[in-house]
Amino acid sequence: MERKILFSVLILGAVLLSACVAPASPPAADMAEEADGAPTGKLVFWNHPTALEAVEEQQFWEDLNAAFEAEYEGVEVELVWVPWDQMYVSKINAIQSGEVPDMSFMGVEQQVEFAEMDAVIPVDDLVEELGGPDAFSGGLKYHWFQPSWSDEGHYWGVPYQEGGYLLYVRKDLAEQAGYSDPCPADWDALVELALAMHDPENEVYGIGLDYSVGNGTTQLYTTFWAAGGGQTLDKDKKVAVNTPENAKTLQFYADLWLVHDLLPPGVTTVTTYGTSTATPIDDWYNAGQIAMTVRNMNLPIVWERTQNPIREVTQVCMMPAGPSGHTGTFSQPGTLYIFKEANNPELAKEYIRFFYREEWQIRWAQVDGIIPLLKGLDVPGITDGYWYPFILEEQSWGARPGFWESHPKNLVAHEAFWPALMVQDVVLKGMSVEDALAKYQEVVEELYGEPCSPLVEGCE
Amino acid sequence: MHQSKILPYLLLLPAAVLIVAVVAYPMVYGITLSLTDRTLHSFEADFIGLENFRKLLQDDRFLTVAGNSVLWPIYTVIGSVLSGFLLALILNQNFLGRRFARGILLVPWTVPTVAVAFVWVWLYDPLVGIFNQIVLLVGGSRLPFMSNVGMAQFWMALPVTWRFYPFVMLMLLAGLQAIDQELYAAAGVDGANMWQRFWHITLPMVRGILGLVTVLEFIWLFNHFDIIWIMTGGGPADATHNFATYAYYQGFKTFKYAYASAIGVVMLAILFFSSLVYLYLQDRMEIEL
Repeated sequence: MERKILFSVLILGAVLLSACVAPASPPAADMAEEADGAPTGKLVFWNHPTALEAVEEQQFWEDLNAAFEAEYEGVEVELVWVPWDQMYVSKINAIQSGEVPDMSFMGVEQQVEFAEMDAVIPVDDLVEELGGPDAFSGGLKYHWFQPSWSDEGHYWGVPYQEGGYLLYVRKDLAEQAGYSDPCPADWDALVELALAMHDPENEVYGIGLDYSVGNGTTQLYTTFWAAGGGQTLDKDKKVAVNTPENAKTLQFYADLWLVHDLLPPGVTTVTTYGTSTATPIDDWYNAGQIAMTVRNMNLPIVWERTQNPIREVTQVCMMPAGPSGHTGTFSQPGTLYIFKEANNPELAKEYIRFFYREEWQIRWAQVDGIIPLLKGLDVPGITDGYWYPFILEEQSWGARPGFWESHPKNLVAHEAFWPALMVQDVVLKGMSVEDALAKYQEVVEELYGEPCSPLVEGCE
Repeated sequence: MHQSKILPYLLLLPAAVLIVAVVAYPMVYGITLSLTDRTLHSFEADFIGLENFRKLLQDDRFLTVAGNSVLWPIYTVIGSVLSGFLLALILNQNFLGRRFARGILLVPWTVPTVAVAFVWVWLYDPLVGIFNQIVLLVGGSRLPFMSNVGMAQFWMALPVTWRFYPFVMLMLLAGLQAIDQELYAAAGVDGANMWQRFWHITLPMVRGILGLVTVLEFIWLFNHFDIIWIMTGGGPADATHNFATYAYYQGFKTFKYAYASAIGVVMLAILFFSSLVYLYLQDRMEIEL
């Protein structure tokens, strides 16, 4: 009896354990087979929903994949949607486990880190086929193909998207305040205009800015920071947070709250990107309770698509110049890259070539609300917008935390959202600008000085 | 004879394996992890002793969170226990519609916490929230409920209290109904007023249950996560973070796994002590009964 029970327990344990064991190798059907040079096999593409309207984006990819599969007989595309907040973790885990997709999309910081990890392959041939750096739009030429993003003389990714921020002003409220041409030229003019429109007794607030200790404040602050001439690393790759340029920007940004009191009550829980879900800034703006706001460049595209009447009372402006004398924006480049351990890298390259065909590029720009990737491409609804030259000009001064100098720890620094924490310390916790800059100089130094991944060569 | 000795252990084995797999292993792993420098970016972890705990003591955000964690149970546990007790006393009376009232008052307990969070976000909304509409209606100016650093935790405690009072109410109502009515009749004969009957009969009779639910509510609410995370993500300025949300933030937003584990270990120590109190009270109540 006892032996029977023990035997049963062992069998049960064996069955349970067998259920936990993963297959040792991918199914043979997933492997690419080259016949007559034509690509065949299965392509696995991990993507993240980026467009403003998910339905249209999904339709875009379904159509593109169907057209690709129709053109290449025997090819199958498996598009896997990975949630935005897992985009990085999912890929790190995939690299660690060796079970990677063929290709994916991510921000440029990841491109450098993954290249250093030897986890992606160079795509110099693709970039050259597409016309080289000069073939791409202004902003991309500046931000993508400068040496900082092409590590060790190679290109590790192909541009996937690029955007930035613009200033949106309620024309009706500006006219009431006596401004017929409401676009402010510089930060002083911005404050002057905001104060003129600010009327809290009638529940109209001068400016509305997304707030979150995450992407929201990080991206908006960086937009001003770019115009202020600030940066994270200097040319010697030393942390340069505590600088006069950053001090001016932080003081200006905090003064919008603390001195001018231009923001509506409750705005520190109003966020589009964070977890808080109170009324988004857009709703305040649409209701005329915010006189101006800084938002992504794709709002006019959505308004046009949805025939939103708000576009009739909105003046879209270039971000005003900061103390540096120029405009600026948070830069939003994304990249398509191919994993070194991909089952089907050649098929992935073919897929990217297909995606770069003009018809798909026009539709992609419209669906995603981005700057067209290829220079000279006319995209109705975007390149004919009166605001389009603004975004191109801003792109010349686009920034990300740690943007200008390539460093494998840029991603760590970016994901820490330290600009948002720094703003929070000053605006909500009462810390002085000087103390905040000194504190975050140390914080960022620590971020860049953390122990390197054993997979990252040359990170000291 | 031999068989009867080993059989009970074999029967316990599946449960023991399950407990080791889902409780003991993660706990030991978490404690071990807290003694390393593991992050998402460092694929291999080095042993660094108590370094993470030293960093915790120098982390001004963690100290804010620790302060919040003192206030949070005061707001929520006292709130839910007092309101639950008061409602249990009312529901213990005979009045028309008592059954209906019992049903209605249990509803918050049945609502998923995620739904509670979203509903209260809109109630507090600075632009369209009904609370602010009422404030405007009576001539006031908008209140920035959840963005007021000094008051955010208090406002956050309201939905949590609302969600958790029914458990207290239900437990205490059961306790109240078990009290022998002859005690009240005898007290009435002796001329005891309502307050004296409450103080000398009701309270002593439900003292055990009251202590039990208070400790239980403390254990549940001390590390409450979902309503806080959905409503504010711990903000503004960390005003609503508790240990659980801050550990999540450090672990899954900044990917500092070891540091987050250290916060978890602190939380574990506090809850372990609370559990001892709970078990002690439970034993005492069983003796009293």
